[in-house]
Amino acid sequence: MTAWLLWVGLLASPPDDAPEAATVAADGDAATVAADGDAATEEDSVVVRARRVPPPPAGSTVVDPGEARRVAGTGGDPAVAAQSMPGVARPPAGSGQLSLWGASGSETRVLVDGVPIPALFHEGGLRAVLPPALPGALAITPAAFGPEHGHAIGGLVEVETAPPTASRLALEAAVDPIDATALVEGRPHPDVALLVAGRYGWFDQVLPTLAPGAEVLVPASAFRDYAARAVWERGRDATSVLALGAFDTVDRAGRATQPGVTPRERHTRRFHRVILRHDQGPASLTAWVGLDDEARTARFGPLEASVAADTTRGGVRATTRHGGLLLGLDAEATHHAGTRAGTPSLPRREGDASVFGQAPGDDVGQDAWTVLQVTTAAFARLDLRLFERLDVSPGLRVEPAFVRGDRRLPGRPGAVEAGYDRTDFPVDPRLSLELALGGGLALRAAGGRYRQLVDPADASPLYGSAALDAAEAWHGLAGLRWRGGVEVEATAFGRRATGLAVRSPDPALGEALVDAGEGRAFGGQLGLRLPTWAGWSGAAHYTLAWSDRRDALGVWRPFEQDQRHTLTASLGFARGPWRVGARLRVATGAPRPRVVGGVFDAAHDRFDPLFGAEPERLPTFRQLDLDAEYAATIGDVEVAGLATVLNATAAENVEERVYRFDYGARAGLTGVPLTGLLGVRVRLP
Amino acid sequence: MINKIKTLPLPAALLAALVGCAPDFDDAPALVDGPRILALQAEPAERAPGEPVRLTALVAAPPGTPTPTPTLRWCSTARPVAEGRVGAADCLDGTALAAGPATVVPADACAVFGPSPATEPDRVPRPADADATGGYHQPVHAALPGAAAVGRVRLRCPLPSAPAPVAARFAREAPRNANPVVTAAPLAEADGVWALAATVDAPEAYLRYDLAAADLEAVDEVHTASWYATAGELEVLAGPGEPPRARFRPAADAAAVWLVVRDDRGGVAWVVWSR
Repeated sequence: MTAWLLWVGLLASPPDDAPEAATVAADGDAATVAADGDAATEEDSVVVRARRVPPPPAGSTVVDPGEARRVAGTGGDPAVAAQSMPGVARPPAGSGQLSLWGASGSETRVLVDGVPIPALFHEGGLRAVLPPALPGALAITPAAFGPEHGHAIGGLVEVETAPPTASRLALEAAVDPIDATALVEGRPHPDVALLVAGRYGWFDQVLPTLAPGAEVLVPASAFRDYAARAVWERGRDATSVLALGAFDTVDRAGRATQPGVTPRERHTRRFHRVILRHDQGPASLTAWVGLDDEARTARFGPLEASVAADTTRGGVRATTRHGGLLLGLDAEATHHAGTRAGTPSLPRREGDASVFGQAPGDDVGQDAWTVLQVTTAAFARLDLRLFERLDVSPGLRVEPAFVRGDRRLPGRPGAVEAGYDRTDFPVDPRLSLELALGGGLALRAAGGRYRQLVDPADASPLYGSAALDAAEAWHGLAGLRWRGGVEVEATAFGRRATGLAVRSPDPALGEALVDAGEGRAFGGQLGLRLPTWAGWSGAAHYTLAWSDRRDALGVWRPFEQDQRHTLTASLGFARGPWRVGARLRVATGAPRPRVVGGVFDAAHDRFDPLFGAEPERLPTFRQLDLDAEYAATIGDVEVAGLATVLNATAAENVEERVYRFDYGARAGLTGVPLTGLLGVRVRLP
Repeated sequence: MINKIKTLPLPAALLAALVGCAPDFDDAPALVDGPRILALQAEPAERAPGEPVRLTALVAAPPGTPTPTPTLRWCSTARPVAEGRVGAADCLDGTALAAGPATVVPADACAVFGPSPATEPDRVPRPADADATGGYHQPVHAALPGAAAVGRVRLRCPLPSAPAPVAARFAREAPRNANPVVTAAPLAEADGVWALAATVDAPEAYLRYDLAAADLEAVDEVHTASWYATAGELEVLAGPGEPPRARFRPAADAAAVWLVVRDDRGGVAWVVWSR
């Protein structure tokens, strides 16, 4: 089935002096910026104020927003390109999570200007939670990041907001079938830059008309986001205040295996951040506060379950550099107030033996709890250059943690409610090195130990446990990179995690979860990046990975987001007013429990599935996306026509298994069919 | 309300959508085309550990087909905390069943499946969670050659999670559940269509422990009706809370329709029309 949608965009008065793509080569505290990603030359280099961006650690990928916008299939949202970057597993349709080298989304930290946010994408993964004009450099480090960061045993996604560029008032607006965005920026004073942006998503209203039944798999999120920023620049110093936030509401009506029952789920998520940042020479100070609230309600016939949490967060981060020594402090506090009711089987946890559409349990409970987590980290990294060819960066992160909870055991009549305090004093070493072998060839390696405090949502005395300790992981990677005309990088990686929160097979009171889970991920990645030549550009990366988890029962099994093979290749061509692009993605299907039959549940008039010992995999995913753009200037108006084709080969990619009422037959719920998007963009000076 | 239930197999069809194409199966959950267990009834409907109980399985089969007698045995392991299925995996597949027929509720039923787990020297096990009616259940496995089902018996267990006065009042005043009483009206047939109707006694009121209020609350139980039939076209004419009514156009001369009424506390009763 092919659908053609009209994609209309209106862009008004972008700044003339804004490089669409910028590569920042830091040199001291100033930076040289070359437009369009080309290497800086004497003729086209200009000196601008820019935040110093440290060299990316081994295994990480940094893209600028201009390059990200040109990735086919992203709809012009630069942060969405993160889903196609090296080390990122192909996200399932409708998912906004990023799985990096076999780590789950909850094990990966998303930072905006160094401040954590709950997720990079709105529900469904179609759009980022940041207005498209806000992201500057986007860096993904799947593992082995430096001591500057903690709180994650998986990877790191860092978004640096773009520095202000507009020299006069600028207005920008865009409209497409998914959302509308608006931006106002300008400089009321030469030293002061202001920006206000917002987005209104209407895909939840468009999708039911265009695709009846599509909400079964792809949540149509009603989403909004905003950002406001004021920057005061004084010579080499700058002070900025950034407020940003996002709202998501998803109503999903799914398909049940039980006839006559339509499962319904509502998920709301909101967050706000206010970030104050001051950069003075090599020093930087960031203070921030935030509010997160999330609620999920699920109904399956008469059964209902709900989870809600209000979280208040805040932190201070300070860094300074003295020669090759980077020093910093990173303090963070989180107060989580959670409530939960209904069956423990909702929401589902990774590794639960259940399948799409299966009825949840009918056992119910009720709990409310609060958790305070405070960490105060000090970190140091020493960047050394030895023998003119070896860069070594040893680092250390000391992160004392204090955790206080209000209840250790589920509420019991007459019982004195006993809270708990817990402290931790981890010292985590990190190391990164790069050895230049000559001829553009370099050997790179990195590793370290990483810790992540327990998710406060898991600290429920009834549904989780107040006795969970932090999870710990060791990362290691090594690889070769060759930079000639072509850039080729081969990397081997490994990660071993312990202390993961998992279901207890024989729980004690107050310990429905135990920190006995383990994880391991290892594999290799090969990346290829072509230089721009005669208008052509291209990149490809392939990852071979194994990601397993071991629950409290002690048997290794494939992680639910394990993708053995992931291949992403993109090719672009630009000449004159024309730009065309293509992106190919191939990925091994995700593991799912193997259903071997069903047994009649005479108590509920339905069938329950019987599972086999070994999981099975969904079929291999293949998708080719194409886009083309033609831009012309008519008078002072720039007009561009844009065409995007998703799944150009009409591959029927199975995103989930669905079963007959008695589990005697199965079929595949397929994802995006051949879909065309047509659009027009108008730019007014 | 009219709810058409095709008990004739239908060809599979594909529901096309822009995003996320969902297949349709030849779903015929109400079709009885061979021996099948439709319900398990415990009499009395709620029993305490150690009390005798009489279990009866409703085995449906097309007229003329031999109706085997199922083997009924208690499941012996509790389901994991987050198990959504009616019993533990080894209960569902019949690999962890108590020896002997299910005639007396196991003495440890409230410990294994209820709120009073046996304490161990160095740990207190987590008790099972009650269902939405405040009930705990002992699962029972029923097996036929080629077909199996799992039902359960509501347990009369104490309320250790409630304040002592509330628990005492529960033990003293809370009535035990009884199976619904269903009476079938005679089958009326016109132009090859059966008109089916039944009456069900009024839902019982019972006492449920309210976790938030830490007190007992009076609640009316809810009845649900499930229809099954041999090949033909069955139309359910009554909605929730209404006396069950249906029309059935059989596809063969010999046919049967089964009506199973369940209350949400685990009670069950049924009637059968056949020709």
